[in-house]
Amino acid sequence: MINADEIAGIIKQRIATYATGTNEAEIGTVIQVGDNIARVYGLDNAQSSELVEFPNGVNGIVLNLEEDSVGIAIMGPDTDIREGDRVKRTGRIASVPVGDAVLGRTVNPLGQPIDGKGPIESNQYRTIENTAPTVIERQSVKQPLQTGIRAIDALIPIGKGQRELIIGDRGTGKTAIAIDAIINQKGKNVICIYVAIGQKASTVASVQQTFEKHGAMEYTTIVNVSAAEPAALKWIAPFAGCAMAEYFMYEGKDVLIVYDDLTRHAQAYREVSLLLRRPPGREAYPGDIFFLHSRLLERAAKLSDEKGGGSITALPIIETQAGDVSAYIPTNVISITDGQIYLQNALFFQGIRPAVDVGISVSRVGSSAQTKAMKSVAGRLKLDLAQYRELAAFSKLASDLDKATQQQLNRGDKMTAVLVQPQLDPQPMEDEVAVLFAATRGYLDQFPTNRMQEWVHRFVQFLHEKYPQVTNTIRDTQALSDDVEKQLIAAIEDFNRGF
Amino acid sequence: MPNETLARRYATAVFDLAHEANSIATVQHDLHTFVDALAADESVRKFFRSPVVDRKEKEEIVARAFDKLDPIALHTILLLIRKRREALAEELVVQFDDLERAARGSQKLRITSARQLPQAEVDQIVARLAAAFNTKYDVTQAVDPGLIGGVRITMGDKLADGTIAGRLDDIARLLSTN
Repeated sequence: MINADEIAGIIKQRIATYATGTNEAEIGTVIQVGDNIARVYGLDNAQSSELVEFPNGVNGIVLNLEEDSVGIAIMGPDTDIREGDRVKRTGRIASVPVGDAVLGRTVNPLGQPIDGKGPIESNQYRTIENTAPTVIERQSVKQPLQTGIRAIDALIPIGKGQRELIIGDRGTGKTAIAIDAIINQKGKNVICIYVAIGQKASTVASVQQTFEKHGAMEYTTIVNVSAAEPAALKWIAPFAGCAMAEYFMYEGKDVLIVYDDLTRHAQAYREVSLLLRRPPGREAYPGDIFFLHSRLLERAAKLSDEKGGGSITALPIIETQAGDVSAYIPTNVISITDGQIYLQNALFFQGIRPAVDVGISVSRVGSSAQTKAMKSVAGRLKLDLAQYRELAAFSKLASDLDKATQQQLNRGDKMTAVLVQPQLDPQPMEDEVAVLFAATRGYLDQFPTNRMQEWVHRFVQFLHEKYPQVTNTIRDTQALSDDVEKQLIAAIEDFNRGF
Repeated sequence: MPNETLARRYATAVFDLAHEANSIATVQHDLHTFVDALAADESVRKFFRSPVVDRKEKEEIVARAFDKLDPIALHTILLLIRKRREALAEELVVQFDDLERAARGSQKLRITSARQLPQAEVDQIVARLAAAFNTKYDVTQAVDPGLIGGVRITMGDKLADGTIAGRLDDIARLLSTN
C-alpha cells in the first residue's frame, strides 16, 4: 500500500517537472472550402503532396502550389471545415506504414486499419510516390507467376515483374480472375496486395471473406477506398498499395498487386483535377492522366540479383463500356502494360468462364517466363485454337464439311471446353499441364463436350491417386520429359477406359 | 470571392505610386477611411458593391462623397469601380498594409491569451521574439478565454502554441489515434 504522503510527494514531483513546452507549427488559413477541396492562404513553405492537418483532425494533401495559396484535397469529411480555420503543416510527405504488420490487414489509403483488428504496429513508413527502379536495377521477366487458371497460364502467361492488364465490360469476371490469382499464391511465397478503388464496401467485404476462407488473407493486404469516400483518397489508393508492395520487393520478395480498377481511379483523378481547375483534355481528363498511370505501373519490376531479385507483378483492371477498348483510359493502360487479358461478354454468356478471348489477349513478355512443361503443351494449344477459330467462322457458311475439318472443329470444341474453369478453383501447374496435354493430343475427342468439366475434375483426382509420380515429376523438374510423357499417356488411357 | 493575388497587383501599383509621391501614410489612412466607411454602413457597402448601379453614376457619387481623400486613394477606388473590381477593395487594403509593413521591415504578430496580459508582459514577449528573429513587430492582442491558460503567438505563417487548450487538443489526438 502506498500512503497518502507518498502520493502527495509523487504529485508534487509531477507538478514540479510538468513540461510546459510550446507547440510550434506552420499554419495557413482556409479561404475557401467545398467539394473536398480547400484553398488555403499561407503555408508558404508547404511541399507538394505534403500532408496537412485541419482543426478537427482531418487530413489533407497539398496538390496545387500557387503564388499566395495552396490547393488541398481533403481526405475526409469536409463538412466541419470552415472558412478561416487554421491548417497545420505536418512536414510529412504522404506515406503509409509498410512491413509485415500490414499483412492480413484491411487498410485505407492512409494506412489506417479499417478491419477492427487493432492498430498497425509498424515503425517503418514509405512515401506513396517513389521513382520506379531504373534500367540497371532491373532484369528481364523470367519466372512464371501461376494464376492457377488454365486459359491464362497456358495462353497468356504472366511472369513475375510483369504488368498484365485485365480488361472487359462490367460483370465479365475481371475481379474473379484477380482473386483466383491471389488465392493461388498460397504457399508460393508471394505477397499479395489487393487495392480496391471505389468499389462497393459490400463487394470488398465479400472479397475479404473469400480470402479468409481460402487462407489467403495471411499473405494479403487489402487497401480499400469505397465509393462513398472522397476522390482524393481514391486517387492515392493505388500509390499507397504500391508503396507497401515496394517495401517487400526491395526486401527481395515477390509481390502480386491488383489495382481494381484503374477506370475509377482515373475518374477520381479527373474529379480532383477539375475541382483544382486544372485544364481538362480529352474526355475531360487532365493532361497528366497518362503519366499518372505510367508512373504507377512503371513501379512494377523484376529487380536485378544485386538488388535482391524481388519483384512486383501488377494486374491492373480496366472496365470498358460495351467492349470499347479504343476509349481514352483503356488505350492508355493497354499501351503501358505488357499485355492484356481481354474478357468478352458474349463468351461469358456462352458459358465460357473465365470469359477470356484468347484470340486478342496477349502477353508480351510472359512466354519467356513459362515453364518448359507448360510451353510444350501451350504451343500446340495456341496453334490449334487459332485454326479452330478460323474454321469455326467458315463452317457457319458451309453445309457439309469434310472429315478432317469436322475433326478439327471437334478438337477445338473440346479444347475450348477444357479451358472452362470454375471460380475459386485454381489448379497447380502440373495438373494444368496434364489436362492440357490430354486435350491437345486428342484424348478427349471421343467424349461429348458437355462432359469436359467432369472429365477434368475426375481425371485430376485419378492422376493424384493412381499416378502421383507423374505430377510430382512435372512439378519438380518443371518439364515434360519423354519418359513422363509416356507415363502420362498411359495414365490418360487408363482413365479413359473407365470414364 | 476575395482574390488576394489580384488584390496584390492593385496594391503593389498603388503602393509604388504612393511611395513615389511620398504619401504612403496619407494614402494608407485614406484607404482605411474608405473601407471603414463601407464596413460602418451596410447600405453604403451594398451600393458600392452592387453591379446593378451604373458605373458612371457610381463614380460620380463616390467622387463627390469622398472628395476629401488623397487623389491617389480616390483614383484607386474609382479605378476599381471602372474595372468592376469593387469586391477587391477590402483585400486591397489588407495587401497594402502588408506591403507597407514589409517596407518598414516589420512583421505582423498576434498574441492571443486567455485573459488580458499586462503591457509589461507583452513587451517582454515582443522584445524576446524581436531579439530571436531580428525583426520588428506590429503587435495585435486578443483575448480568448477558451485557451484556458498560456499564450498563442502567430507570426505570419508560424504558430507557437503554449496554451493549455492546445495541449489538451494534443492529448485528445494522441488518445484517439492510438
